[in-house]
Amino acid sequence: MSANSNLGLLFFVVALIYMCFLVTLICRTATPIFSCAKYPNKRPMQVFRAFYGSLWVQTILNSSLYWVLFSN
Amino acid sequence: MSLDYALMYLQLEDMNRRARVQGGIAYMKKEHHEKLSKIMNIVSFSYVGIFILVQTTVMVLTVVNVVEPKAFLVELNSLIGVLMIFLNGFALVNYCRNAGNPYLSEKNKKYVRNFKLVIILWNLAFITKFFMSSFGVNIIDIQMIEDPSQNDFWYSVETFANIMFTEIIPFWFVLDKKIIKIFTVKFLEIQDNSEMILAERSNSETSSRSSSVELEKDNEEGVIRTNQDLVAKLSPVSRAESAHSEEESLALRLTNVGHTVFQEAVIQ
Repeated sequence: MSANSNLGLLFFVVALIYMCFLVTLICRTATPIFSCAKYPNKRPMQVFRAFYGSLWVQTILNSSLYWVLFSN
Repeated sequence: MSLDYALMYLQLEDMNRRARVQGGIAYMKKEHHEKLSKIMNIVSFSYVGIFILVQTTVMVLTVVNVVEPKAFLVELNSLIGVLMIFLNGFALVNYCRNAGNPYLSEKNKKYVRNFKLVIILWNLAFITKFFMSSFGVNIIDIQMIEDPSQNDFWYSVETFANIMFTEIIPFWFVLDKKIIKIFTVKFLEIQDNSEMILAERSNSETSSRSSSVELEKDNEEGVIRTNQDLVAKLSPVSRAESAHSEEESLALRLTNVGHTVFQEAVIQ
């Protein structure tokens, strides 16, 4: 097995993991959106939204980076 | 990742404040600490903003080959290092402020400790990142794969370990359900608990107040009764009656087991 194929496998695995993270993130974000519980727009929820927004951006960027690396 | 990191510290500060009883120095210097935390938040988020701008610019410059990838890594590490020192210093100040204040419940304690563990894990991930970018391999070394000397299995394993410990594991802990609960429902439940405790306290206060009011009423009634008795004793009719009864009682007191001890006292 050459280093290129090893690295290819590594990037494929990491990209797959990030895809799983993305699915998990969708589920986690959907839970408060579609739940019946009321979420007041107070400080904890604002921090939660900012935190999850940042996580979304980061997961998408990392996922695309590893897919690009795998394809190269 | 740095924005998430800063937000986690912000959440920790908020959680520590809400999950604990604010007493002692924390309560006395409340306004002073609120001002300090506001200043710290403004400074840290301005820094994160500048950090993201610089990072984006350097990234673009690296892509167009103006800046070398190594320089990009050095810049990234130095910015994250300063942010880490700053936020951990802020967390230490908050820890000293809340040290000794009891938690509102065991549940609050558990959630705060879980969150602290996640933050420690993120710190470890950043330290590993610094270490790997200085002494190990990173994603920038990918072009070196053309070199046959680097063409080995261990290069891939090292890169995988680097990605695993610095990205995937910290991410996994943040995506955990417990963290979501801390940030959303459970965290608000903690707040509800504290509100419930406060409500219970106010209820117990009102009940104690009502019981004290009842006691006061009883006392008043007792005083009125004694006053009435005194008035009745002081009236002339009652005085005569009481004199007669006093004589009888005296006679009784002066007799010992039915025998009169001092007869003259009784006659008198």
